Amino acid sequence: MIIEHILLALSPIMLLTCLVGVTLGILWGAMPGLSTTMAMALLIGLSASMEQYVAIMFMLGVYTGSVFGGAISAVLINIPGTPDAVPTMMEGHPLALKGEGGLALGTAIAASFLGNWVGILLLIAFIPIILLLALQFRSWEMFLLAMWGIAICGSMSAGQQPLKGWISGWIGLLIAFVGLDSIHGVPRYTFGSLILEDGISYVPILIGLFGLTEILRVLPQKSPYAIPTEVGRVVPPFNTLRKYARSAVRSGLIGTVIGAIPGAGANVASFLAYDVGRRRASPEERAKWGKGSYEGIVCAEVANNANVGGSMLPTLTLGIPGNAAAAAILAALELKNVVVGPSIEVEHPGLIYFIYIALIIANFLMYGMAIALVKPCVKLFALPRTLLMPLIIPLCVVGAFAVNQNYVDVYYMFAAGLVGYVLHRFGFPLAPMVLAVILGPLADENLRRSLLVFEDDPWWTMITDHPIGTVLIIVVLFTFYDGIFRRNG
Amino acid sequence: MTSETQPDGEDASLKKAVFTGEEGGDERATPESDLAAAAALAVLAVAAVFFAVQLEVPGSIWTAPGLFPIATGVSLLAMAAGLALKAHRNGANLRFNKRRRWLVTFFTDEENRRGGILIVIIAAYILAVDWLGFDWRHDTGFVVLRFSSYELFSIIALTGVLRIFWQATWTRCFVVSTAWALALAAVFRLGFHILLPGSG
Repeated sequence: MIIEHILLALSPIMLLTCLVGVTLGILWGAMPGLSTTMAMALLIGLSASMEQYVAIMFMLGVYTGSVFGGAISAVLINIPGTPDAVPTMMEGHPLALKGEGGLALGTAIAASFLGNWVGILLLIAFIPIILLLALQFRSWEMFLLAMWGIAICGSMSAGQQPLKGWISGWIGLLIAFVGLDSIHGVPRYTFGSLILEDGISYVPILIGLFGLTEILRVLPQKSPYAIPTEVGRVVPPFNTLRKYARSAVRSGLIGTVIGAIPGAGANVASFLAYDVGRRRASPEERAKWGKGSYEGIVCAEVANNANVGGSMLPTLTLGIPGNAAAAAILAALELKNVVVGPSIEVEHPGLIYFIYIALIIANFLMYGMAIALVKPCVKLFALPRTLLMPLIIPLCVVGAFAVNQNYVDVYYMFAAGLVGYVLHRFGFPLAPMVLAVILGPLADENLRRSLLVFEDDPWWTMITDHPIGTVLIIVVLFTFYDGIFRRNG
Repeated sequence: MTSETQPDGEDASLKKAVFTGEEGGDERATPESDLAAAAALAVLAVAAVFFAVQLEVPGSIWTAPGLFPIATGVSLLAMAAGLALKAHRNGANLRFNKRRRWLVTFFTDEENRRGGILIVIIAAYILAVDWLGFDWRHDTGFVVLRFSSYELFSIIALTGVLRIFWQATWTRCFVVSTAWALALAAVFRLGFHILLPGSG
């Protein structure tokens, strides 16, 4: 079974699919304003018609490519293609100004390659352990896990105001309740509409929040940027990487662990690794930070790429996406009737091995294509954002429609885009809402099931008979406590 | 290499290179906007609880369809109160003059106006594809050529948006829009066999 899936992943059609995905991802990530999540959300529709494994390979290729792509514009035009490339921009652009742009990008490529490896290896190492643990989860634990996912996502995505992150998540829960309830089939928040009884699919919500909202907020802004004329030779310097091996490994661990926490994505990972790296750098190295430090690039790029593997850990084992991009992968998998979670190895034997190999192939292709695409990307920067962003509008419409072939999803997408725009203007993060729309039905069903089980038992059995659940209660309460008291002083 | 650039977007992390959470957001809100948001959220929470309470309870109270929605609504109300309290502590002021000034500023701000126009165009585009749907087919013997409301209104909407934001000539905007809409339709319809909206 394992060999079969490895051979499938190595078949020419899969390699070609991955190559297309990685190329598209790098080009997309390199364009300022076009984020990884946006790419992933829009491509769910495209993957709808693909065969299951082709779709997974394609999405993972795009994911891997776009996370690196942000570094290109960060170094060359001082604009991070994706927000997680900000630390790379801080260190890479000063180097580019000194004429070392090629070397800076080469370092970013090598660091990304290494970061992906760290993420993949830790994913392979930890999946069996998490799966073993996850098999012990019953309804009560699944409910608490889902609520912790939404709560931590709110905390991690909202900066100094976790309350806003939680509110965003709670709005998502209300959206998730719309439709027939899963236990009795009672219509909730449908107001007599038969269309609403089907519930609101999270794919149009994802496309609206991360596609249309981005267009609405970025397109009206005016931010011209200068086009670089000279890049220099792009050679990934593995000697430089060896020099900073300790920082690289540490950043890889940070990136993977952060990736595994729902809501904490590549942005948190790259900033945290960058910050830790700066504090731990030798005095002579530290003097270079902020003025063009190769070590800074290594820390940021290793961490944000290791995040890819890390984010797949909760996604595959618990069905809880590690970040918004992983939520898009989850949506693509569900479209193919692949239900991820504790029983993934039983219900879809071999799939996990396919995903490991897909990530490894995507990493190798990312390395090659990154070197090949740097110069074409410079030409791509000549295309104004005011030309590129409008072209995404029809893609949002097709993406939302394609999944269920139902035009009402396009209206949901538009409504989600508007709500996302308003929430963004008021400083609310959007990722918790998406996570809550995905996890809401899971939390609702499991809460009611577990309460039914507990109905005839004394209330303390909820704690005494469920040690994992008790740990999760403490974790949820700590998440709220930390958000309310520690951050807000 | 030139670089007269500023980091784009309004995220503080991009402007100041300071991490403000995975999505940031603190810098966009004012105490007044937080207070307004809290009021709107309170209304939403009360409505959520009101409709959830009215749901029928076919079995045990513990499996009631409204149980979790009520809990969510009540906790959302508490969070809205928390947001309002915080806004008040940060000096939120909703005096009428200030509010009117904020409204005037909002609508005279060029970025907001451009955003408003964009929303109207996209809304009209989405409605037109749905309401004025058609699907024209012509069999060439080799391939069936199709042109539907999706292509037509994509071309019209894109031409308008490009003209406003890209500011190229009408002809260039039209050519780019047409090429893009037809290419997209061909890729989805012929390449991936995905039905397009408006064409059935």
